[in-house]
Parts: sequence; C-alpha cells; structure tokens
Amino acid sequence: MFAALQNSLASTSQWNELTVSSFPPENLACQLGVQVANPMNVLKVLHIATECVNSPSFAHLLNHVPTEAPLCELKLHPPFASTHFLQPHWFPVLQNLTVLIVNGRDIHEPFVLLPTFTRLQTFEADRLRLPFYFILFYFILFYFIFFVGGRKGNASCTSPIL
Amino acid sequence: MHHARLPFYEPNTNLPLLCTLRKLQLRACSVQWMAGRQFPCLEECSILLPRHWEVIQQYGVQLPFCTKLAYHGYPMTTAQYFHVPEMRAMHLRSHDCNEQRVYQHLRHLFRVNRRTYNLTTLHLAFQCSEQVLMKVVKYLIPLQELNLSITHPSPSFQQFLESLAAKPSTDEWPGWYSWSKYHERWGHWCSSQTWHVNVLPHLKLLHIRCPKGFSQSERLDNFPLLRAIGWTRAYLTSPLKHLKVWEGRGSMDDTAVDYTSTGYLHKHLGISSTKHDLTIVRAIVTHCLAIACPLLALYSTALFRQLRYLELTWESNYEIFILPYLEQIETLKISDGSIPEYSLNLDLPLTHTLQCLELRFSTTSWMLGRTFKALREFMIFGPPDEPENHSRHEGRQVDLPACTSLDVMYCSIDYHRFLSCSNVQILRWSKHPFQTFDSAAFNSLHHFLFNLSRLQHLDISFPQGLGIDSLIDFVFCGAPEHGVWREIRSVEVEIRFNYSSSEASHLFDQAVGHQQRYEKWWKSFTVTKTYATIVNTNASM
Repeated sequence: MFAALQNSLASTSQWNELTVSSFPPENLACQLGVQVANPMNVLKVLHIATECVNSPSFAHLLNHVPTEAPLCELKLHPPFASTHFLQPHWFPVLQNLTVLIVNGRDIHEPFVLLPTFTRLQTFEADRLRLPFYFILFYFILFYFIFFVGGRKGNASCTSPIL
Repeated sequence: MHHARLPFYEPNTNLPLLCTLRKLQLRACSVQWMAGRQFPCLEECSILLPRHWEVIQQYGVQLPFCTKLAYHGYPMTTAQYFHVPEMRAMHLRSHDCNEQRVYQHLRHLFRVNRRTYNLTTLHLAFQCSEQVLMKVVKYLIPLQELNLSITHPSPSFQQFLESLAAKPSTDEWPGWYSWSKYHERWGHWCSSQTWHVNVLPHLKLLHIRCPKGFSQSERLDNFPLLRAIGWTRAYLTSPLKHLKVWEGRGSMDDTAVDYTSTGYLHKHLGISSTKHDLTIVRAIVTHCLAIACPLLALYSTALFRQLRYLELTWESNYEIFILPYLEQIETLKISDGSIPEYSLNLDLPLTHTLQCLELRFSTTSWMLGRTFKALREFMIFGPPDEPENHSRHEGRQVDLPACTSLDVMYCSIDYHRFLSCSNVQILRWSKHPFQTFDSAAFNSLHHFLFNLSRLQHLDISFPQGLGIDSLIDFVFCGAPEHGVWREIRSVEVEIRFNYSSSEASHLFDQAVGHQQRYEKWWKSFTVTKTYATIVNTNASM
C-alpha cells in the first residue's frame, strides 16, 4: 500500500482528479516523498474529506496544486484545507469554479468573492463570513443614522460589523 | 458566524452567481446577502443555523425553480420567507426546546404555505407533541417520503402511528380456524379487501429516528403498531416500500428495523416464525387475538390494550397477569388459566368493557367483590386444577347486573352462591359429576333459581342424587304456580343415572305420572328416556 502510494506520487503531474479521504500520519507520510512530487498541472477536481488532518506533508501535497491548474471543483471540508485555498493569490482560480465547498472556521476575514463568481453551480459553506449587500447596507445605514447617531451624539458609524 | 467583520458593498452589487447557482448550502453563515434576491437556477437550497436571518423576514428570497428546501434554525417560521413555489422536498429541523412554540411554528408554517401541500418528501426533526403531525399530514396528499426525527416521543406518538395504518373495507373478519386453514383464509380475506387510509395515501418511505433512542418498553409498545402500518399499507394501490426505524441512540451500529418485513420478530421477541407475525397483525387490525405464548411478552403494548377479543389457551395452569392491560376487551376466553387476585383498589378496565367471559378450568376468585357492568354472557366451565379456597372471600359476590346468559358447567356445587345476577334470562347449569349433591346443595340451587325472576330459558343437568324429585317439582310446577319466572319460555331438565336403569325408570314413571299436573302450567310437556339411564324432561310455553 505504502509503495503504491509512493509510485502514484510520481505521476501527480497527470492527475485530473484527486480525492483524499484520509492521509497517513506524519511519521509515515514524511517517508512518502511528497516534497519531490511534481506540480498537479492538469488537476480539475480536488476533494479533501472531513477526516483529513493537517500535517507538514499534507501541506506539501497541497502546495503541489498550482494556481495555473484548470480547477473547476474544490471540495475542501477540513478548515485547514479551506484556509489554504481561500487566500488572495487563489482568488482568480476560485472565480472560475463550478463547485466550491468550504469550511471557514479558521478564516477570520470576510469572504468577499461572492460578486466575482460567474460559473458557480454548487456552493456549500460552513461557518463562512459572507457579506451583506445593498439591502442591508441601507438598513444598517438607516439604523445608525436615525437611532444610534440620533440618541448618542458621539456615536460613530465606523464598523458595519454584525 | 463568529467574530464577523463584514465589508460593505456598493448598492446594487451584481452577483453573477445568482444566475449560475444550482445548489446552495450554508451552515452557520450569514444569509442577509440573499435577502431580496432571486436565484433563478437554484434547485436545492439548505440553510442551516443561519446568522442574520432577520432581514430575510423583511425582504424574502425568491427561489422560483428550487425543488428542495432545507431549513434548520430558530425561529423555524423564517422558512416561510424563502418563496419556493416548485418545492417538492422540504427538510425542517428545530432545536427549540419549547414544545408549545415548536408546535405553533410548525402549524403556522404549514398553514400559511400552501406550497407544502404539493410536497413529495418531508423531513422533520423537532421536539414537540406528535399531535401536530396528525394535523399537518392530512393535507400532504402527494407525500411519498416522510422522515421523522423525534427527540422525545410523546403519548400522542402512538396515536399518530395508529392513524397511519390502512383499514380494510369491511370489518367482517373471518373466524378462527386451525392454524394452517386460518392463515390461508386470512390471506384470502385480506386480498379481497379494498384497503384505504385517511392520511398520506401515497407514502412509500417512512423513516423514524429517535436520537436519544427508544427505551425497551417504548420499543415493545411501538412495534405492533409499526408492523401494522408496514403490513396493511402493503395492500394499498400505492404500497409502502420501507418503514425503517432506528431505535438505538443513533450510533454507527444502530441498524434500522424495517417493519415492512418480519425481521422485527427476531429483534424484539427472538423468534422467527411468520405465524406470529400474522397473529400480531391480525390482532392489531381486528383487535382479536388467539394467543401464542411468545406474544405474551407484549402484554403491556398497544396490541393488548386495544384488543376486543382475546382467547388464551394454555397446556397447563399458567399465571395470567395481563388483565389490567386489557383496556378495551369485549370478549375474553381463558382456558387453564391461573388469574391473580388483584387488590380491589385496582380498578380493572375490563370490568367496564367486558361483554362476554368464558373461563374453563380457570380461577374465578379474582372476580369476587367486583362489578362487571357490561358483562352479558358469562360461562364458567369446570374448576381449576388447583381448587380455590373461596371461604376466605365469604360475603363477597361477583356482581353481574347486565348478565342475561349464564352457563355454570361442572363447577363446585355451590359456586352459584357467589353470583349476583338477577337479570339472567338464559341459564345452563350442570353439576360436577364427582361431587355429591346433598340437600344443602339442593337448597342453595333452589334459592338461586328462585331469585332469577327474569328467567326465560332454563337448561339444567344432574347426575342422580338427593332432591331430584323436589327440584323437578319446583321447576315444572312450583315455580310457574307461584309466578317465580314470569317470562319463562322453556325448561329442560336432564338427569343422568350412572348404572341403575331401574332408578331411571322410576323417575321416568314418576314424571309421566305427574304429567297432567305439569301440563297445567305449560303448553307442551314431554318426558323421554335415552340409553336407559338418561331422563329428559322438557316443557315450553
């Protein structure tokens, strides 16, 4: 099994679809030679199951997914995997996805990409900070101006945090 | 959403994903960005534990082609602001512990949203009385799949289950036969019926979960009803395919029991014989049961509580402890049963419902001191294997105010003195062949007969013994002469002589000798002798 896994890592550049249901513990994974694998240049679908645990070797594996890969489906159930891909340099890739599943538990910044998705067909989000748009904008503005601002003269409308 | 810091966007922000999204699932995310939006391509939408839902109530969300909506949040009524005209599947989940509020929210949701009447799939997870289900499901005519997760089954859970069982077009059940013939006839009868239901006529899948697990007594209590649903609905034109119940605590090894098959028998009773399955089903459908021993384990279940007819036959004297659980019983037949004497402080429900009681070789002292208000027919046949000591109950009687038909066969010679049954119209009385009938016993019987003022038909049978002449004289002459039985229609007295045909001849001759005197009180009077040892005396009005 271990040998088969090692062999398969030799062909990462040809992978179209990668599903990781579980990953070996670090003491074993470090012997796999993940570091020397090739970039997954043709990867279209990446699925990382909830049971996967973060480790240095796993991080190496994820690093072999280049931003140039023609990704169209990202199913990132563990928070660490979501954090890895929900970074600014990945945004151009995310915008072209048709399937996106993310867990935003460890992401403290608001998810600002909603307006940029043009092909997204399936969107599943767990604990992701989604923004509000124009309707609530007016609602909050109205609230601050007429209630908060009106009652407390020194109240400021600095943060629309909800 | 935790520690949310949400950015502003310009008014009228264009969201292209609205026109591409087919499936959306948000868990613990803010949903206010959806408010006032239309999602023209969305087919499935799951909103679980939403944040900032208030604005949704103000502006709503349009999902014109969505067919599946899942909503889990508080208040549950927020789901009504997701406008889903094509909805066919709905999942509703509430973790609200206020049962009354959940009840009201559910009712409100189904009342205001007529789209729910087109549902084919409904998943409900909540904590409130199942009464609301009975109110809701009757409108869900097209529903094919119902998935329930109930935190604490309420007393109305069983009512809900009962409402789901199919009913046959007639209630003229086939009678009891030997097991092999009975199975065959029962099968034919069921196939000949048109079965119907009042709720969920197209239901194909019913799944029930209890995350905290059903207790052992709840499992026993429920399974006859569940099996009745699974079995009777198989006869519908749109039959139920699976009725799965997860009865454990929801652990991985908690396998479902499917009540559309007989596997439940092994699970609950450790038996596999399908004849017991038929017995259980028949008992639930017809409320009639001829007992099979393993089923006695179900004594506290709805199966027994709903029985109207019960026949208990044992091979040896067996303690029958089920009487307190027979809440609707009308006919009860017990053979070779030892019935405990319950405290008179315990009000046995059957004293209010029982109409026909037949006890063969069974104990009777449990009846003393009780009034059987509805009992019309009472038959007692033979004493139990272990004789009862009635002396310690001296002064107590069995009160049978409604009894019109009484059979006292081969009992102790003075058993009738424990009976208070002045309205009896038909009496069949037969003396035990191995007990001596002395003058005291005769006086006792005479007194008993004398008090049956409404007697219409009398049929008594004695072996030879003291006092027979006097008894015959009382029955055929004394009683009519003194107007003891004003409504009497017929009398038959049979006297059996063991060996001596001469004694039989003597009695026969004596009766013939008195014929003219007896005929004065009867339209017809006949005396016959059979097999040289039996003398029959008949009279009728």
